[in-house]
Amino acid sequence: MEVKYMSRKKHMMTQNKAINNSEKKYKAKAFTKSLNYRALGKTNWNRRCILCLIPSLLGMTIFFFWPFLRVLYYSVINDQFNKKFAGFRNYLDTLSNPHFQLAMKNSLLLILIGVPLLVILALIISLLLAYYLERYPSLQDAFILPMLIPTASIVLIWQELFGRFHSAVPIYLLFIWKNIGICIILLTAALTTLDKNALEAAKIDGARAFMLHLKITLPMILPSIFFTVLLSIVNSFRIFKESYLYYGNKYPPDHSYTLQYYMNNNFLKFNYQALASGSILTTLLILLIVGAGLRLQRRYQS
Amino acid sequence: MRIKKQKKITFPAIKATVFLLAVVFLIPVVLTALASFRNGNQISLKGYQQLFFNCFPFYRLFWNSVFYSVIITIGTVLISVPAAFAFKFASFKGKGVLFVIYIILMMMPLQVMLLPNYIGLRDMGLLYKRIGIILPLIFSPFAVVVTHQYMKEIDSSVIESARLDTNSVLKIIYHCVLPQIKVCIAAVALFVYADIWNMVEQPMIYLDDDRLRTLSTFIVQADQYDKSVMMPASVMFMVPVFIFYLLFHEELKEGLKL
Repeated sequence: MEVKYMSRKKHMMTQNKAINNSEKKYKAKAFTKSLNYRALGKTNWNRRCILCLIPSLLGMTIFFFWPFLRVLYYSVINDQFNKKFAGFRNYLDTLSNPHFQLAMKNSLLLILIGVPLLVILALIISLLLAYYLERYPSLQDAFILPMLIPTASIVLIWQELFGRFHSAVPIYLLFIWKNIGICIILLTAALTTLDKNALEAAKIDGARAFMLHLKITLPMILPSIFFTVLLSIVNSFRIFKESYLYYGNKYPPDHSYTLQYYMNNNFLKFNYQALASGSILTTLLILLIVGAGLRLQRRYQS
Repeated sequence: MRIKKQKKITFPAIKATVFLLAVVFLIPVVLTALASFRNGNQISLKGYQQLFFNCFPFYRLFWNSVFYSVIITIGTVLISVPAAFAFKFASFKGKGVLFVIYIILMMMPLQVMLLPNYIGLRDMGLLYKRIGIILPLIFSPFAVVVTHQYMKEIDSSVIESARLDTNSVLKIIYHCVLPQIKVCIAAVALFVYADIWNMVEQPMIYLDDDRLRTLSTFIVQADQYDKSVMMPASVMFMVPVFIFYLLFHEELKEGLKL
C-alpha cells in the first residue's frame, strides 16, 4: 500500500517535473523565438518602410536632384560646347544684367507689398469667420473657391475689368485672389485647434474687443502665421502663370517683369548660362528667405 | 457710453465688409458665367452652340486636361502616401536632412526647375511626349510633406498591433493608415487636381504638338479661334473643379494642415 502510494507519488512528481521541464523548455524556446522574430521583424520592418520611400526618392533624383546638379555645372562653365570653367563670371554677368535687376526688383516688391497685404487680409478674414461669423460657414467658400479656379478661365474677365490700369495692380489683385484660399485654410486650421474657452472671455462684440482678441490670439498661432507668410512668399514666385496669361504672349510692361519672365525668356533664347546662374541665384534667394523665416520663428518660440 | 456707440457703428461695418469682400471675390467667376451668355447686346446660347458644334479642338484639349489631371493625381497619391509613411515610421541616417530637402523643393518655383527638368527630359528622350508631362509631376514633394504632416495625428498603436498579424507594409498602409488619413488624401488629391488642371507652362514648353496640349493653352492661343467661344470655353474650364469643390470642400478645409 505504502509502496504503491510512494510509487504513485514519485510517479506524479516525475510526471510533474517532466511537464514543468517541457513547459520551461517550451517557454524558453518560444521566448528566444519571439526575440529572434522581433529582432528580425524590426529590421525587416524598418527596411520595408524605407522601401516605401524608394519610388519617390528615385523620381526626385531623376527629375530634380540630378538635373539640378547639372544646372549648377552649367552655371560655372563658359558655354555648353567648349565647357571651359568660367568661375563666377556667369553670376557677375547675371547680376549686372539690367533685365535681371528689374526682375529682381519687381519680385522683391511683390514679396514686400503683396505678401503682407495677403496675409493680413487672410488673418482678419479667418479670425472674423472663425469667431464672429460662425453662423455663416459658406462665407468661407467664397474665399477658398478661387484657389481651385484655373487662372486661364478668369483671365479674360480680368483683362476686361483691369485693362485700363497701367500698373502692376491687376497682378497683385490676381495674386491675392488666387492665394487667399490656402492662407485662410491654414490659419483657420490653426485657430480651430486653440482652446475656445480661453478665448470666450475676449469674445465680446465690438471693434475694441476685436483688437483685444487679435492681441490674445496672434501669439498663439504665430507658428502658423510664419508658415503662411513663407508659403505666400513662395507662391509669389509662382505668379508667373497669372501674369503670362494676363499679358498674353506679349512682352510684359516693365512693372510686371518678374524673375520668372527673365528665366522664361532666356530659356526660349537657349541662353543656358544666364538661365542657370539666374536659377541658382533665385534658389539662393528663396533659401535665404526660408532660412531667415525659420530662424525667426525658432527665436520667437523659445 | 462711447464704447457702446463705437461698437454699434464700427463692428457691424467690419462684418459687412467681410460679406462684401466675399461677394467681390466671387465677381470674376460670376461675370465670366454671365459673359458666356452674352452675344453682342443680347442674351443667347450662340457661344455655347459655336463651342460645342463648331470648335472641335476644344473636345480634344478638354479630354487632354482630364487625362493629365486624373493620371497625375492618382500617381501622386500612389507615390506620396508610402513615401510619407516611410518618413514617419522608418528610421535611417539623414532622414531629417532629406525631409528638409523635400520641403525646399516644394518651395521652388517652376521657373527655377524649368531648365533642370528640360535637360532631364531631353536626355531621357521624354521631351514632346505625354509621359514627359506626367512623370515629373507625379513626384510632388508638396503631397509628401502635407501627407506626412497630417500623419502626425494618426494612432500608431493600431499599426503596432497590426504588425503582429502581417508583415506586409503595403497591407498595413492600406488597412490601417489609409482609413485614418482619408480626409487628407481627398484634400491633397483635390489640390493636385486643380493645380494640374491649371498648368500652363509645362504643356507650352515640354510639348510641341497642339494635339497633346491642355485646355489652358486654348485660351493662350485665343487668336486662333472664334472670339465668341472664349467665354463659354472659360466656363466649361471651371465646371469640373467647381463640381469637385462642391463634393469635397469639407475635406479640403480639414485635410490641409502644416
